[in-house]
Amino acid sequence: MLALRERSRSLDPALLIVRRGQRDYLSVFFTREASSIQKLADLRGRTLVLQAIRSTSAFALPRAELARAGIPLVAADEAGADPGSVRYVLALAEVNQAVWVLHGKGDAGAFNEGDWAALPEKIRSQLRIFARSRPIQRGLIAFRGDLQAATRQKLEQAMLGLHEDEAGRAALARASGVTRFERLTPAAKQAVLDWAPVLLTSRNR
Amino acid sequence: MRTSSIGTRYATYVAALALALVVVALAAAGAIALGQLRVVQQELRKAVAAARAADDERALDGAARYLGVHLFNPLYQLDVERLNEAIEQTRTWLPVVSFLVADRDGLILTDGTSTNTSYGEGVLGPLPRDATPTPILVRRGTETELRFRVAAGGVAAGWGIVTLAEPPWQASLRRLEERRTAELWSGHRTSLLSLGGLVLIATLGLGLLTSLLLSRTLARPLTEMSRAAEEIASGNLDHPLTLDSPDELGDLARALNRMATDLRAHEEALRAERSDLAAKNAELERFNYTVSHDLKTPLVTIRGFAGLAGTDLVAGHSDAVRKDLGRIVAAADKMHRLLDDLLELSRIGRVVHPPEDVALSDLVREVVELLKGQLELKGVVVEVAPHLPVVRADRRRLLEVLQNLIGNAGKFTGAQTRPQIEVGCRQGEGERVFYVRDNGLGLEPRFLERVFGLFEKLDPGGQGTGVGLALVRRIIEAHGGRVWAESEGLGHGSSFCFTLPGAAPAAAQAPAQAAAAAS
Repeated sequence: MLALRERSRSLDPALLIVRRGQRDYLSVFFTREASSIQKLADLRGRTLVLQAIRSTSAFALPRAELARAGIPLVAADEAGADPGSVRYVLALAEVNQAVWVLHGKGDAGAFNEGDWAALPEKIRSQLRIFARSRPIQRGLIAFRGDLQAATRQKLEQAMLGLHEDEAGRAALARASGVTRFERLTPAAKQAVLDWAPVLLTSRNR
Repeated sequence: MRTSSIGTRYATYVAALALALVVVALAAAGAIALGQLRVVQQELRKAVAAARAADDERALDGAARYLGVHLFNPLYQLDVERLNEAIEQTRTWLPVVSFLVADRDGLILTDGTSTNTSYGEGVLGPLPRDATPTPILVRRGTETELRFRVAAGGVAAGWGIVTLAEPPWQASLRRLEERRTAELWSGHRTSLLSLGGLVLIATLGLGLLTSLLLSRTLARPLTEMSRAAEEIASGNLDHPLTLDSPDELGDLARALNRMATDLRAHEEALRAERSDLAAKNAELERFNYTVSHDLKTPLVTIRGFAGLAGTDLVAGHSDAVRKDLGRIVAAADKMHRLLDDLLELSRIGRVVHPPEDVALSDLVREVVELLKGQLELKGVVVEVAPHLPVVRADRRRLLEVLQNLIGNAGKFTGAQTRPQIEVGCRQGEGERVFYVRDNGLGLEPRFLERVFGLFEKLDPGGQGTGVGLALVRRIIEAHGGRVWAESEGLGHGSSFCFTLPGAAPAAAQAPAQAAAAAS
């Protein structure tokens, strides 16, 4: 959405998506219990196991946090990369990320904090978290800038009241487990906009 | 028909016993049949298993080879998610109980579940180590464990350990067995229930029949006898049992009836004896009174004239002394007669002569002859009825009776100028009544009974002792008869009647005769 907004210059975030009760979430960086890695900087020259490029929490957020720390992230097979950068491999699934770290196919991994909680106990007990990203909103509803105000108002009213009746709640649940929509507060809107340059910058690298 | 409690109880015992026997028999038959069925099923299963074992092993070998290749890429890449998907997919065509995938170190990578509780554990037991893809088959009960290498192109990625439920054909066979067994059980149960229902109805009928039978043959007679025993115990002896069966119950009923009869006889005898005893006591009281009174009179006379005789003797009045002594002698004679009569009266009860046939006509004639002087003196005419019967009696005592009665009739003629005495016999109510009738003085009604009392004298100046009629009564009653007096009053004569139970029918009688009359 941020990329579209960047391109069109007309998208206006207006509503917050509350999914499974969460308004926002964050990514965790983890490694083996016995690993010497203690902070993001320790990842330099090592391999980070991520899920897939399309993933927000298991790729974009970790990349953004590394970028914010000034640490470049490059593909493991990229030739001529800076030795001080972090190499990444893609495991395609969160559980694979954890298993790869345990089996030495990577030195650390990063994904959503909810996936950390969902790991099998026998696997999670052999890992530890050494860093966390800043939280980010779970999802946003944005309107085109040239949309008529009356139409936008009616759409907002309809979406904000969806969770108040049985049929609306059922429709929200079918839409990837959405609990309800809330109006985006100015502070939250500003936080989203603050993420934009970091995310967009790391993406374009 | 009403059933009794004892009948119902024994009928219940019989019915319960019959029911239990039939149920046990049915259960035993069912158990034997099912046991045979299980033997057949086991033999069938063994035969089918033997025929299918080789095919099974070939099929499992093929499955192991397929999985060994199919799991290679995800295992080699440590792609747990794809391994889990492959395990899940395998469950669609194999009866997987558990599925473990281990890495090259023999450590379990996944068990196909979201919790993956086996992760990191070492695989126990042997693993196929050589390059050949032959899996290891281990059978545990109905389950089969399949251990195979996950490899491709000579490169090993790890192992798979799959536990399979019993083969589908075996499961089908087992389900078939179970279904058939269930059907057989169901059929057998239905048969058992049907038979049980019939048996229940039959035993209920048997119980009812037994109850009725026992009520008729045992309980009801017992109840009747119990009631009869209670009647007897309460003194009611007039309700004999009507039960007349040829068995022990009949014997018991007859014994009860005999007991009731004996009790009744004893009771009647006792009542008669008690009555007789009371009468004798009363008589004894009268006797004591009378004896003491009548014996005292001569003694007073003797004492009085003895005193006068002494006085006259001192005064020298010899004539007066002689008269006094005469009166003393007369009083002593009277006492003597009284004592003789009393002795005779008492002897009647103690001395019994053997009974004999006595022709009354002859006996009357003999009495008239004995009293001839007395009767002739008063000109009394005695008439004896013809055909007087022969009686069974003590002849001497009967003679005394007639002598007293005829003698009294001749004595108390009153003012009758043509005194007559009639001796005869008439038919009473079921008995013969003998009588001595006269037309003499007669009796007032109040004396009709008293005349039979001891020392009762209607003529105080008479020479008699007043014992005669008491003697008559004692003799007649000793023979089992009765005696009484009849009179229409003074001046109308009187009749003295008596009965004798041993009186024979009138036969062989002497011809009618008129006794000689005086003058």
